Amino acid sequence: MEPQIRQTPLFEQHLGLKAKMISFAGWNMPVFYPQGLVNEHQSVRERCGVFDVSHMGRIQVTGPKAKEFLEYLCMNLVAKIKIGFGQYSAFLNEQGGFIDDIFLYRLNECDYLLCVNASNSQEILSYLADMSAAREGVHIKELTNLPIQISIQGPLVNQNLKQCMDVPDLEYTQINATPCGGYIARTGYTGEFGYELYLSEASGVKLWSELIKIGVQPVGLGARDTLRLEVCYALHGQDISPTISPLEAGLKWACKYEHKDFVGAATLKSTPLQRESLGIEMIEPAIARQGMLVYYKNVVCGEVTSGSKLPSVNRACAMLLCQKEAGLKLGDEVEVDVRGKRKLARVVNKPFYQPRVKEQSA
Amino acid sequence: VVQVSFPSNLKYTKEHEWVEVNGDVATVGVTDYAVEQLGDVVHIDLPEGDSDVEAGAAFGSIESTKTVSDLYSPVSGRIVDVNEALLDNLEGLSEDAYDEGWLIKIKMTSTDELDGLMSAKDYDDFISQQDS
Repeated sequence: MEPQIRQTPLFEQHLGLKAKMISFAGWNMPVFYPQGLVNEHQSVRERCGVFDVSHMGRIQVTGPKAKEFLEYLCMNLVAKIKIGFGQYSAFLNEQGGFIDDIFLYRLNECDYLLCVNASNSQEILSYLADMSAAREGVHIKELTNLPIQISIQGPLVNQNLKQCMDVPDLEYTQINATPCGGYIARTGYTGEFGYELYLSEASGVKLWSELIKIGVQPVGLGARDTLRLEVCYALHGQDISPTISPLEAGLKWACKYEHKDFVGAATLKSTPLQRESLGIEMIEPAIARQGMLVYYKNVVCGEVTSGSKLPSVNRACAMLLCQKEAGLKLGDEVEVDVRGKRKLARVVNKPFYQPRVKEQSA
Repeated sequence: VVQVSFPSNLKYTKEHEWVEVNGDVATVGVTDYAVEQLGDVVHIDLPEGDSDVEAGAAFGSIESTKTVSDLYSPVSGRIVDVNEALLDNLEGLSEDAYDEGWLIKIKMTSTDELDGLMSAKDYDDFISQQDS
C-alpha cells in the first residue's frame, strides 16, 4: 500500500509563509519558517508564538461507562478530572511500557476528549475500539469535525489572542467551548503560559491568518522540540516508548499504579526499577543526540533519549535513560560517544529551564 | 524557486561544498544553499590541521539544532589550515558562506580531482532538480 502523506488544513498557509516542510509521522509539516528555529524558540519564551499541531490525534470517548473504561486504560486517576478540566496521562501495555502518552479532557459528565500523538493516532483509535468492543455504554469517535489544532504559547499570548477572539479566563488545564463550536484549553508543550485550540476548518484557518496578520510568530516542529526539551517534557518514540515505563521515564507523578488497577499496573508493581531518566549538559563542545551511548568510568551506563543545543539555556543538554546501578549523582562526569569520539558531560538537574505554565499572561 | 546565485569562480560538489583553488591549495566551505537548508547552525566539528584527507571521505560534521550532516572532502591532500575562528562565530557561516565561512584548506595531492567538480551553473541546475 502506498503511504499517503497528509496535509493539515493550514498547509497552504505554511507554504505562503515559506516554511521548510518535512515529513513527520505521515504528515507534511513545517519544521521552521524563514525567521529560523532559534528566533521562533525565543519568540515563544519572550513574547508569543503560534504552532499548527493539527497532525495530533483527537478522539472522543463518550457514554455512561466512559469514565470506568478510561480508568481501566489510563495510568493517571481519571476520577480526579473535574468537568471542564484536563489531565496528563498515558495508555500502557501489559509490560508497563507506553502505548502512548495523552492529554485527557473531561468535557462533560460522560464526555471525554483525548489528544494523542500523531504517529499513534490510528493505533490508539483501533486499540480503543478493540478494548471497548465487548463493553456496553462506551462510544469511540475520531473528532473529524475539528480538524485544526492550534497551539499559541508565550508570556504575551493573551494580549495577542484577545485581538482575534474572546478569551475566557482559564486555570491551568481548564477547557472551555468556544463560540464557534470548538474548544480552547490552557495547555501546551513548551513550558510557557498558553492555549491549545481545537477548531473547525473555517474558524481555524481564520484564526491562524489573523494571528499571523497581527505579527504573531509562526513556530515549526523544530522549535517545538527544543522548547519541550528545555522543560524536559517527554517525547513519545524517544524519551518514552513501548519498552520504557513511566517510572523509568520520571513520570511516576502521573502513574497511579499504587492506587488503582489498570493495564500495565501489575507489571509495574512486580518489577524492580532498573533504569532512570537523567539530565546532562555537555562540558566539551558537542551535541548529544538520541541513541548515543553514555559512559561512566569507562563503562556504558545508558543512552541518550533526546538531546540538542538549547537556545534559552544556551547549552547543549540531553536526557538519558540510565542504569540505576551506575549510581549517577548530580555533578558526576560522564562521556557521550558522539560519532566515535568521547565527549565530556555532567549530570545536572531536570528541567533545564523552569516552566512557567502557571504564571499569568499579559 | 531558488533565488541564490553561486560565485562563478568556485567549484561545487553534490554534497554542497564549494572549492576555491589557488595553485595547489583548495579552500573548502559549504554553500549558502546548504546553510539555508540546515537552518540555524549550532555546532561544527573540524579536523586537526596537518592531517590527511581523501576525496569523498568525511572530514568533519555540521549540526543544526535538528540535524547532523557530514562534511565531505572534495579533494585528496593534506589539511594545511583550519578556520578555528569560525567555531566561535557560527553566524559567519550564514552571513558570508564564501569568505568568513571557509572551513579548511587542503594542499592537493593532484589537481586532476578538480575535473570531477561542478561549475556554478552545473550546481545551480543540480539544486533546481533537487527542489523540483
